[in-house]
Amino acid sequence: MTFLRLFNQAILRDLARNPARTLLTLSGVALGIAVVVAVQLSNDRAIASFSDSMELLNGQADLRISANGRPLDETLMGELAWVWDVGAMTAILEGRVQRIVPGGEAVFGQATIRLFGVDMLSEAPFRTYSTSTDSGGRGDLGLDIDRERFIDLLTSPDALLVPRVLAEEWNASEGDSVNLLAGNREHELSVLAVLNPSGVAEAFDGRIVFMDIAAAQRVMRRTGEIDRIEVVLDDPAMADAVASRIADQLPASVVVDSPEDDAGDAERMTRAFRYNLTALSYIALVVGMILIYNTLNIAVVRRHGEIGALRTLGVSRRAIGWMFLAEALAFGVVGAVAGIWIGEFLARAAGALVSRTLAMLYTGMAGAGSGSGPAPGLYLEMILLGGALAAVSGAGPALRATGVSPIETIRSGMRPRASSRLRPLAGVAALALGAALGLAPAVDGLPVFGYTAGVAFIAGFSLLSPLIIRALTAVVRPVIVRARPVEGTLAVETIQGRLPRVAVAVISLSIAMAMLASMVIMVASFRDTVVVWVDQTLRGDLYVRPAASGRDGANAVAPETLAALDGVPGIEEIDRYRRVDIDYNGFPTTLGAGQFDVVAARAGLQFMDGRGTAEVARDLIGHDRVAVSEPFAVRHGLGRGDSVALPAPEGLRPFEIAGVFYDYSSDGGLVVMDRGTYLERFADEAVSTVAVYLEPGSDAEAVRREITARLDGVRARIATNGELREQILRVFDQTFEVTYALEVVALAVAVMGIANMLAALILERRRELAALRFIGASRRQIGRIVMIESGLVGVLGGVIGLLLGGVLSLLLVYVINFQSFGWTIQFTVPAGFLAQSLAMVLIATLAAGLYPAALALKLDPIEGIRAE
Amino acid sequence: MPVARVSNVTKVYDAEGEPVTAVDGVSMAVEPGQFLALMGPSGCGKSSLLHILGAMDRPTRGEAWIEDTPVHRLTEEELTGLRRTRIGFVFQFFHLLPTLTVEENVALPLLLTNGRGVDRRRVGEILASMGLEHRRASPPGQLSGGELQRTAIARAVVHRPALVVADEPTGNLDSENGRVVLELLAKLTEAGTAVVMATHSAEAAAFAGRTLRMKDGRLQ
Repeated sequence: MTFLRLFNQAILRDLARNPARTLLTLSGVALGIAVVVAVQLSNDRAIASFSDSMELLNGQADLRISANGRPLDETLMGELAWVWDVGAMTAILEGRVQRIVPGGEAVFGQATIRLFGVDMLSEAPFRTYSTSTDSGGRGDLGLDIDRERFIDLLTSPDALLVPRVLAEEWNASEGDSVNLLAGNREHELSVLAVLNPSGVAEAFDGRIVFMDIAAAQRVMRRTGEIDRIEVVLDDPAMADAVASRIADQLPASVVVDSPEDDAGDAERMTRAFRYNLTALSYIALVVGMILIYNTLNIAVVRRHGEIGALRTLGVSRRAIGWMFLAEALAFGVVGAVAGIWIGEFLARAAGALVSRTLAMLYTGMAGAGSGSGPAPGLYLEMILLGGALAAVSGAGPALRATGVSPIETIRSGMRPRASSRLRPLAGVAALALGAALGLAPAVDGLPVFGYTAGVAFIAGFSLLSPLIIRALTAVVRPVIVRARPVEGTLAVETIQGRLPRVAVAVISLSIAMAMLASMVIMVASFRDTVVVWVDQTLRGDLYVRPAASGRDGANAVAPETLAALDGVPGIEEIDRYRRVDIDYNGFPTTLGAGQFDVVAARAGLQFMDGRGTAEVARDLIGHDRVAVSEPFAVRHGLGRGDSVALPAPEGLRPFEIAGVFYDYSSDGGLVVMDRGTYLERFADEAVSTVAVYLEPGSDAEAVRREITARLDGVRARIATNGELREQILRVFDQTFEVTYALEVVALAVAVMGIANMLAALILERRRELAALRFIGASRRQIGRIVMIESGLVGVLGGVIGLLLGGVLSLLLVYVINFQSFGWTIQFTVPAGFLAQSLAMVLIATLAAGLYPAALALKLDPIEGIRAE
Repeated sequence: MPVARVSNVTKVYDAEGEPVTAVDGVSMAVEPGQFLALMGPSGCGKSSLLHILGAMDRPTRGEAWIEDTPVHRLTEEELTGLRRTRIGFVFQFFHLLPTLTVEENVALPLLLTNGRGVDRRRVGEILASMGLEHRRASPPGQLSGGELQRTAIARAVVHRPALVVADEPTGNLDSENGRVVLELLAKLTEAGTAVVMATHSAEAAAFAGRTLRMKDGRLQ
């Protein structure tokens, strides 16, 4: 009771007396928490949405039969007729379609929609569909759709079931026509029914359409093919037995598994991306916590006399310590509650970015981030985290408060605490530890030691910051004093004289700046590397792709399109490239096949051992050999001469790795072989992309027009080299939008810290400033002093941030990125961009100085002198 | 010509909406080389009158002059300029800048006046005359109370002001140090500097050549 009263009188009232500073600190913590909440929610919701979608689509199936990326023959259903005795079976065909205006073209960047072809007659045990009009129950077919329309669905070749959300987006009602690009042709299909947002219609946020499988095969031009067979068993306990019987009966290339693995796949393939994003989001939180430390530290110093008085009155050391710790906790918990609230708002903006990035890089489907219900577990976690981190931040100042002697009198304001001699040594030790940790390998594919090394480097720089600040201030002092002899001298003296306190603000700014700088360096290095890679590998003049392709390459270039390429004037050579998505040891992997005779002469893959493409091509052509991408080699620990078992039609077939090449198209991994080998071993003549090489002097636009003219109703996307290159870099740039957004928030929190620190310095120095006014300093000079201090903190934070950022960027490029994604990146320093960032930080800190400067200008010198 | 004079000055403050008259129709003058003590109980208006005499504040009514400059008509910038060149202040709690050394504190008025060209010889002389040469490089935190106030006096006179305004300069010192400080202030007048000192202490006032008593904002 006494403690609470004391807390109220000594702490809460003081916080209420300084509303601006209290609000600044709370805002900093709240923003820090908000960023973590937003990223966590966006990540969780994107993954949950993908997993939920897969679960909804997989329905009640106990088993799934597929051919690891290749189609199955629909006659397989007949061979497995015995399964009907133990359960039910249905066939699925999936594809990607894109809505277009009649006669129009697909729009780049517009997400494709999933087309789900199902056997409506056997759907009942698997999935539920609910139509918008009440049909009076599910009926004996298990579909909540009236019998007449059900018959239409089975017999009509163009009937579509469209989820309501999509129907509304298309402004289409039942009976309306919609034009879709599917199977490289434009189809005018009819909306037979609009599905209520329940069951399968909720999958992928409703960005999915359903057709009867026969109609789907027709529009996808995949007659006789299915992608998988699903099985529901009367007795799910028999799953293993049935699975092994099916596996025994079918070729070894056919995989029988449980659909439950899908959620795990999404989790696994996006894990490194999400972990990196989460690690980044914590930076803003760390900066927020430094703000708490700073505020409390200032409070303890400012209220030295008050604490002494309380001690004289008999308040124990412990009670004093607890009071300040409780203040920190209050900041943490209240900040966390506010942060959760802000985070929910941010999550909507960040959610769209995160889900778009995840879709672009991994899941291939946009439309995640729904299901944005409250997440009480996360909220509680954040409040506990806010409280715990705040307690850690407040422990130092609280401990210092317990050390205030009641006898001690303060003579000339607050004396800065002398810094410990051990500090620099500890700083050097932390840097050495960081370097050692940076050399440690990944743990379970995650750069755990890399992150820890980052923390050690930040700690090292923090501990060394007073030394660095002293050195840097000595360097800039003559410049500042020459420019502004009076204000400059006083500002520099203040910074140097109050080093421990200033150092906290400087280091919080440097951490934010370092993260920004390291990201800027990493992204620029990555981008430069990608540009070089694109230059070397993307040598075709034109690229012909299917009309509506997804990441899985399920849609192939129409045979008519391939035929149309024959004899087009100006075309010298073409490279037919096939890509299929397979599962390799539980990781989604791309199997590619190109014409290596063309590749060797035209495009250059960069092999890690320095060999030329032509040399490796000789090893590949005519042999069961493959070349693998660097991320694949890193993830699976394989190298040249090792063997990989790939899912060929007759079962897993070993291929020798002839070389490892740099590749930045995905972190999932890429295994390529010569097209001749692929045709021989995989019996798949489909082509996913055609690289067209023109004769010297040919006009790419003219050739494109000629190809388009020959297509005659068939659709294809034909991009020039420049267009494709632009698309790749656009996707690349979009990938890092989220990270930049996070950095800006961290910087904003740090700038708040500076405003807070400077404001506290003003209040603490009000007697000094008043004395200065008495002895002839003008208001304007006082304002200038504060602005110079602010600018100096900005320069110091910026420069130290750049130094730390340089170290962290090495860690990001060579350790964290490599261990997370398996990419070797050439290190480049974007000096211009870094200079811009530094200028931005300087402007932000000068802006942060405006509030304390205004505070200083408002100080009444007579009141200031009286305030003893 | 008097160094400072006030004619029928009144100072009214606003205390949470209520007007409070701190100085009420006071007229007086300080001549060059005069050591004037203002005595009176707390709240009698000594400090307010001192602030007007020192061009720190303008009167609500009446006229205040520093030599031939009308303080009551000056803008804030002009008041600042006047203090910088013609007036020195000594405070009860010293108010030295803790991040500056003794020498830097003393040189501050010269820095404010001249910018780059601080006359280091003048600073050295003053430090020597105050017995502070050995403390030249020390920060205020390492000084005794007497040394702190001597530094403050050195800062108040380094720019050769016409008037030194001292508000309870011995209020925070023991009697021995208090005596030294008062002797130093008295010594300033030998060179023609006028000193106006507000004090509670009759002992301190005894060092002054002239004593005025205040009560309820008026001179008695």
